[in-house]
Amino acid sequence: MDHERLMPLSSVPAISDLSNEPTVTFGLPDHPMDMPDHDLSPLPLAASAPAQWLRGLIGAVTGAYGARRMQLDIVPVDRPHGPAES
Amino acid sequence: MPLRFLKDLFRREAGAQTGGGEPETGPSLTGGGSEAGPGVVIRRAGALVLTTILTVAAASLFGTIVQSDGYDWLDVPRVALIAIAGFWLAWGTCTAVLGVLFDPEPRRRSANIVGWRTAILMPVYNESPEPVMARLETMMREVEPLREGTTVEIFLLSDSTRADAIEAEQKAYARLQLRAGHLLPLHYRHREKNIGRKAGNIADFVRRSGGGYDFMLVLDADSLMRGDTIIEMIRRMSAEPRLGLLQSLPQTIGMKTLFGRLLQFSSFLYGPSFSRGVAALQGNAGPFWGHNALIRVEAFARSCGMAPLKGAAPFGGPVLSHDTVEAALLARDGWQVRLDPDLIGSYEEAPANLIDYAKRDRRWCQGNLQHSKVLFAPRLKLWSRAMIVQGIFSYLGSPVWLLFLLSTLAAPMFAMPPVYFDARVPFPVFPHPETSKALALLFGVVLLLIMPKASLLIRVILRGEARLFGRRLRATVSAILELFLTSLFAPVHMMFQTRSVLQVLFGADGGWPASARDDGQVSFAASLKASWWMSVGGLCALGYSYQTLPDLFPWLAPVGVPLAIAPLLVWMSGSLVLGNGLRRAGLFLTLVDTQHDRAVDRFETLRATVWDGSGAEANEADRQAADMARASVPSVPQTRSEGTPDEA
Repeated sequence: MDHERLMPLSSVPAISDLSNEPTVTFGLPDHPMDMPDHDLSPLPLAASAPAQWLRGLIGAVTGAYGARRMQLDIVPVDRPHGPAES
Repeated sequence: MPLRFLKDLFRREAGAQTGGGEPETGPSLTGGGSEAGPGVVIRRAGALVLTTILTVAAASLFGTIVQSDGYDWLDVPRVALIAIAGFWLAWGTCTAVLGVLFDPEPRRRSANIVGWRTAILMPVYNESPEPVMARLETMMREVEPLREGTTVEIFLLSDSTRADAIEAEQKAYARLQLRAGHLLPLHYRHREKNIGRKAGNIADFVRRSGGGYDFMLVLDADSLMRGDTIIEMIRRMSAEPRLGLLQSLPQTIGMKTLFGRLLQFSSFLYGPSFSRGVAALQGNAGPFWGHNALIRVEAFARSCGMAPLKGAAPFGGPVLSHDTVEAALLARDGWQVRLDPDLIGSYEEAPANLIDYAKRDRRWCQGNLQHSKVLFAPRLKLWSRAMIVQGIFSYLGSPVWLLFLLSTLAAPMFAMPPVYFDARVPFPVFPHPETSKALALLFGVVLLLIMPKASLLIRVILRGEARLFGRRLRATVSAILELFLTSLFAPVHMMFQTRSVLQVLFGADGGWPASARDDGQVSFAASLKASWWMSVGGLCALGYSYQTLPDLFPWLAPVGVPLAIAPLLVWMSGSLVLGNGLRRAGLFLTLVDTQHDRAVDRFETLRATVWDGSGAEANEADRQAADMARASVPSVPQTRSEGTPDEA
């Protein structure tokens, strides 16, 4: 600010000093800051909350069904062990 | 999923609204920040329940009316259309009523603002430089004596593309530097390519210079703010580390035409209360209206960079209406976005006539419809998504009403002939007349339209604020006249908006005639060119109704007649004679007419005496005044700024 306050009048840029550079600046402070761009695209349907909820539901149902099948599978079956008798 | 939605909608966190418990660090960036305090939860739930009840009541009443001549297939979309349109009407009413009932709590503020660094950003795009510089000089002279050691710097950020406009604004900048550069540092930057439009302009500032500032006050080229309002905003933001964006209440000034005076009066009489209603529901995901708002630079830099949307225009490409999206992105990252309706002394200008209003609306329409691609962006707060939907429906509402009117006109053609002699009944059966229910529905709709404005007027009178509008009688007459005129203009506005929506959907150009003059007046030829098609439509609808559906004629007339005389209304809207005449008659007066605002008066004086359009180049008087001013200003030590500005 002091810089601006004490700046002599002669240092106020004249119009003739304007260049044709892509960007024209007068007294612009150089304090760069990172500003990343965010992608606003919606998540893929498969990653969306309803899809995950549905996937969980299907997983739970098929898991329960599988467990039931496994239970059925481990029930001892009355059959001979070892090589079949001929 | 529904449970998660409800949880998100009604999520609460202690201290979120009350300002208690100051966090030591910034908000988390996980999107898990607070959404709403308990008061907000109750208000949102109440507004939603009441809106739903009103919508269901209107739809069921209308369903009863249309079934009086038997159901046909067209009745289903008609009931659906009235339900959609009724929902948004009822939602607007609930918001306005909340504004009457709700007074925001006092906000936290810092007594000491030494060390905070604020950049005031004025983006310009091919503007006439004199009014812009008059506004900047006003704000510089307003802020300088009040800033109490806080650093405030001014940035003129040009995206102009016309060579004459660029030259004029650079001459004007040099003159303003002479006149007021000793008050506050003043900087200028011009971009050759205006990539990303205004959002790109602000982002360019943040990337070049944002690291030097804590806050940035984003303005529009027609923005004017009082110095005490700017300083108060800095006090509030410096007191709340989680506050990412603070929106003030911009009110319309400087209008002279009939339509402009109407907008100005509405913004002063209804704006504060309606904004209180918005604030009552906002929680931590409030609105951003694109200007006259203070933004925490770090929050903006981390959260608000937007990649162009995928796909082709009009929905793909850079985000056009960036403000709503930026507010949603800040809220997504846990920053508080807040509208403080008590932050008055914040001004803007508005379109002077219906054509200019429709032109601006065309741009906003495209921007809001484009938000449909942002609606499902990851991690957005549910309230932010609701605000995006509200923005979209503020434009889709017009085609919905028009479709409803057209289907109502077409319905009798599809109605089944009445059956007087049913074999199962021993006596003739006559259709049930449902006139009383139709009148009840009409009364309800009119009540929804009038009640918010009436209640806001009553509030103003009861609180003794009518003197700001020329005392009770003039305020009441002005409000009645405003209601009458807005009812006349509403069908024209509906047609312009419907055309805008169709143009956006089909990728057509706006195609507006270069009509309005600088003073906002519109010639009758330009009015006719802009609205002849409405006259044709309105006359056809009235003629058809008169010939074939005479019972419907009185119901259609409030819409059909304004459409038939649309060119006259458009011409009237830009009339200076009517605008000035009403002002002289003491109607449509506002605070800036009756009390005078120092900043507005200062701006008008500068505009008339210094920046009067006679040339923006500095003259000898400016140089002498600048020399005297510089000689009288003592040197003040730098406070917290990390470096001094460099000349490019």
